[in-house]
Amino acid sequence: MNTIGFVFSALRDEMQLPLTQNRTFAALPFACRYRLVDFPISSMVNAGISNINVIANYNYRSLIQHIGSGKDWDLARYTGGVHIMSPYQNAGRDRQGVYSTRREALLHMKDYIESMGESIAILSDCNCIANLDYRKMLETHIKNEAEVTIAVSENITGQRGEDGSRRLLPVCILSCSLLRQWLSYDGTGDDNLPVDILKKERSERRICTYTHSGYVAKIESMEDYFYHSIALTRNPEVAESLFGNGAQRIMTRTHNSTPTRYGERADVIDSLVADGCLIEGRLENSIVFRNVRIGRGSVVRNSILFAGTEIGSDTVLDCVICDKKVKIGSERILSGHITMPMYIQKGREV
Amino acid sequence: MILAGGQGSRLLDLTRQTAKPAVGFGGKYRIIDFPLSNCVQSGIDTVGVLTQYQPLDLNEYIGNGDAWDLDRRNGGLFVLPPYQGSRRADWYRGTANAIYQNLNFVLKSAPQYVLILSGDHIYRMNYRKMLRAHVEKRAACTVATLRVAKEEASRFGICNTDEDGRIFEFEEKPKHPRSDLASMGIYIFNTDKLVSVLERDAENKASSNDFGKDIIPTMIQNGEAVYSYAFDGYWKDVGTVRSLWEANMDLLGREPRLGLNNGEFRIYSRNLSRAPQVIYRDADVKDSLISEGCRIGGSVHHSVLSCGVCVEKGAVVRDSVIMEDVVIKAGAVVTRAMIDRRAYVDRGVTVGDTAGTEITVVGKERMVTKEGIF
Repeated sequence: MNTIGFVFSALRDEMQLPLTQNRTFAALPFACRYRLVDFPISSMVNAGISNINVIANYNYRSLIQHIGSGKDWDLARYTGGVHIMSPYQNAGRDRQGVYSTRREALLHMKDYIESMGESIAILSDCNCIANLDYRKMLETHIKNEAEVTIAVSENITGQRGEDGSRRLLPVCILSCSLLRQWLSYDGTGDDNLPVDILKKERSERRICTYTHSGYVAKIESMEDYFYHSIALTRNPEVAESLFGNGAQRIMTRTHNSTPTRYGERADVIDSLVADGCLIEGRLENSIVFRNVRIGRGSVVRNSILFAGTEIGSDTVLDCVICDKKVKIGSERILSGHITMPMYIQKGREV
Repeated sequence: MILAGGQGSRLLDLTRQTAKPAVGFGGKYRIIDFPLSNCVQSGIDTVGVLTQYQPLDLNEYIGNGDAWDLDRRNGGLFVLPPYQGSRRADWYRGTANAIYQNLNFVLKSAPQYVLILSGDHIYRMNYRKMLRAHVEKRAACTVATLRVAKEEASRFGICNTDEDGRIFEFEEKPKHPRSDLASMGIYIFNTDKLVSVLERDAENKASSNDFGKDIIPTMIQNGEAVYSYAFDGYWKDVGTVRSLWEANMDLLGREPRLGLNNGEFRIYSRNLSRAPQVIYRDADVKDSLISEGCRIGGSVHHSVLSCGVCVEKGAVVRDSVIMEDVVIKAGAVVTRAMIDRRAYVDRGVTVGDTAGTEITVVGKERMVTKEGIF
């Protein structure tokens, strides 16, 4: 295939989510089974792209473990495959090592980019959750003879964004020669999105848009993350369209967990549940990752329980996000608010 | 060596086009996952799977063994169908004959011991412990055994042992069983002993070339050291529709008789990555096992659902085993049924007998409508 993919695992270091304190943004778990990086990688694989570079930032151990050899995306290949490019210090800068713009990130890979054989590049961030059809987007790019194609959407919902920038998705297609050209410019302040650079030359460049008509969730805060997760439980058909099926499936790492067991007193509605769980209580509008246990008499509402969490019996959770392996005892009551979820750190015991 | 060639004719429609070990179980597993996973968890890295009947599904499922961590540089998993070749080669004529025809494969790895398993039993066992006992007793052959109810005993090979565990009597499916110690069809042999008994058996025209009927009794008659290894965990021979259904039901309840856990000694399987389970507003799921990709809008009680099953709002599923990608439309009522992959149950249709005790089987890809089954 003539196209290469670049996925930026984290760019927004101003977005300090408690959830990303110990994991890079791309490794943020979402919707029971996935991590944010699964969406761009799967979309690329589904479009036939088999050479994908994930540019890592901080705390990317869980990202490496998640992606592994790329086998789960059928990317453990002799040619191409998925590669995690680690960041390294940019000597002479004030900041500690890691990049903060896409251009800086790609500059670390300058040699590779100079010599790569593909002619088209797709660049994507990880903060827009969507099942994009890159095949269509590439077709549009080629048909319009565009130099840059940027994805837009009318459907971005969330807490913020009023102006035109609201519609932009952090996904663009450009030719590799243009990419090399862009990298060779002298760095200035606004060298983030290719469009910023090319704004100056807009009249000379063909910049086109591709409209994605499906679901999009833009995650820029803890509230966004919570809002979009719970929204999936209120609109299960939307969830199904996001996860895709057949050739448009979002793929992720598989685990050999058992099927989930619902107990005799289980009472589950409007929820998404992964494998390996034991549910013996009430679950409402919640997202449950794998190997979670919910004891008898407990009620879990509007909450997100990451892998390995254990909730005792007769405990009530409302608007709570439990990170991995949290243990909440019996007869506890924990409550956040739908606009301000309560977050419990990984491994905490309550 | 896993014997996975049997027809499993008593499983009716479920095995019309599929070998018994490839039949689904427990939501996301196939029967053969149990012996395969047991091997890997016991540290065995060279496994031959002998296929014969309708092997396509099974072969595709097994692949190169990677799902069970058996894609290895040294050893690994090998699928062994019968093949045309020398005079000896033929369809497999019996369990012993199947191994006999594959002796070249066995000897290629030069093992000290050969473990012979059936591909259609549900159980978890660490074969290392059995091997240790075999070595301690200096046995020529060790047979894993299990205490069974006296009423059941006639279905099995029944052993009688002395205080040391040495078997002095072995009767296959006896009319009047003389003990309740049954053979599980799991054997460990010293390799050279296995080779010699199989060769002698091959020359015996009167033999049915079966381990339980011929090899073991002959060895005992000849005074060989055949010992019993007592196993006391859960074990089920899922040869009939009823036993397969019961084994699935054994996964449910307050204290399941068969526990599947995510810790040590877990059972591996090959599964396509699916979306999370979606439980809708009107769903009512109790005492059930639900796998990935299921979409539940109706009522599911005391049932086992495989991946991708859709139960619409208003549909009712009770005491049933539903395999992959089955669609159960609104208002359908499914009771005490085993529904095979990709079948379709139309609106308002009743499958199964709420009053009786029969298990209803719906075959793969069948459509069940008010007009009938197509």
